[in-house]
Amino acid sequence: MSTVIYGNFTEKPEIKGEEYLSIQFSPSSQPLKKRWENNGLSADFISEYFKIFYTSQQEESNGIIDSDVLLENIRDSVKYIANELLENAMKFQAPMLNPTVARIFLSLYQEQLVFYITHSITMEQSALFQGFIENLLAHDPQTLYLEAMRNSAREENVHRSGMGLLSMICDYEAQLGWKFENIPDLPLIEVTTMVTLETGI
Amino acid sequence: MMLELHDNKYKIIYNPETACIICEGSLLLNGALAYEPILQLLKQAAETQEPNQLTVDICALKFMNSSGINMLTKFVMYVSDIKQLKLTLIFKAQQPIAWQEKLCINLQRLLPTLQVQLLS
Repeated sequence: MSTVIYGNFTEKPEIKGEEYLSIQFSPSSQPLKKRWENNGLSADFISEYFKIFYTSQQEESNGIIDSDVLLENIRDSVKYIANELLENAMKFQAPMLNPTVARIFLSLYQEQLVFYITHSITMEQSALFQGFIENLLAHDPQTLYLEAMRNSAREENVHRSGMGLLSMICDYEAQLGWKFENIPDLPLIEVTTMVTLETGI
Repeated sequence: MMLELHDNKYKIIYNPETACIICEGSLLLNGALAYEPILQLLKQAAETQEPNQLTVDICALKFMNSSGINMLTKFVMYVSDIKQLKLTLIFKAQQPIAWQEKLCINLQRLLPTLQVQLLS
C-alpha cells in the first residue's frame, strides 16, 4: 500500500479516554440536497458539542468562564471548518464504490482542536487534489487566497477553487495536513485531511 | 419595489429606497450555481444604485460557507473590475463577530474604496 503525506499531518492518536467526537456517514439513497442540509446540521452539532464541553470543563476546574465573545468566535470557527470539511467530502467522492461516504473525528486538547476527515476519491480526483496541495505548499497562502478571490469572478463554476481550504489557513490560522492511501483492490484513494485549530483556551 | 430571496434558513432583502441589502440567517448553499440568484440580485442592486451608494448589511448573518464568500468576492470583482461601476459600496458588519470582520477586510483588499462599517 502506498501512502503520501503532505503538510502538517500526524496519525490520529490511539483513543485512551480523552474527549473526542466521531461521526460516520454511510452511503444512502438520500439525495445530495438532503445530505447537504445534514452538513450544516452536523457542523452545528460539532460546534455546540465543543462549546458545551469547554464550558463545563471551565466550570469544574475554576469556575471562571472565558468571555462569551471569545467562545462564540471559536464556536463559529469550529462550525466553519467542520462544514467545509464535510462539504468537500460530499462533493469529492466515488459514491458507487465507497464503503463509507465520510468519517469526521474531532479531538479536544488544551488550547487546540484537531479535526480528521476521511473519505474516498477517484484516482483522477486524487491527482487534481494532490496538484492543488503541492501548489499550496510551494507558495504563500495569503497570495494564493487573494488570487483565488480575484479569479473567482472570471472563472465560471470552478469545481475546486480551494477557497474553503485557503480561508481555513488565512482567516482561521488553521494548520492543514493530508494523507493519501491506496485502497487495496479498488481504483480508489482514501484521503484524510487533518486540521489543527489553535483555540488559545 | 423591494426584492426578496429566501428559504427556510436565510433571507436577502433589497430595498431600493434605502439603497440597502440586508442579509439574515445562514447561507449554506451548494456551490456557485445555487448562489447565482443572490449574485444576480446584488449585481442588479449595484447597477440600479450607481452612481450613489449601496449598503450590504451582514450584521444578522449567522453563518456563511466558502461558496457564499466566493459569491461575495465575485460581486465585488464585478463592481470594481468587470463593470467598473462608479458607486460607493458599504459593508456593514458586527465588530465582535470575528468572521464578519475578516470577510469585510478581505473584500476591501479586492476593492480598496469599499467602506466597512463595524458596529460594536
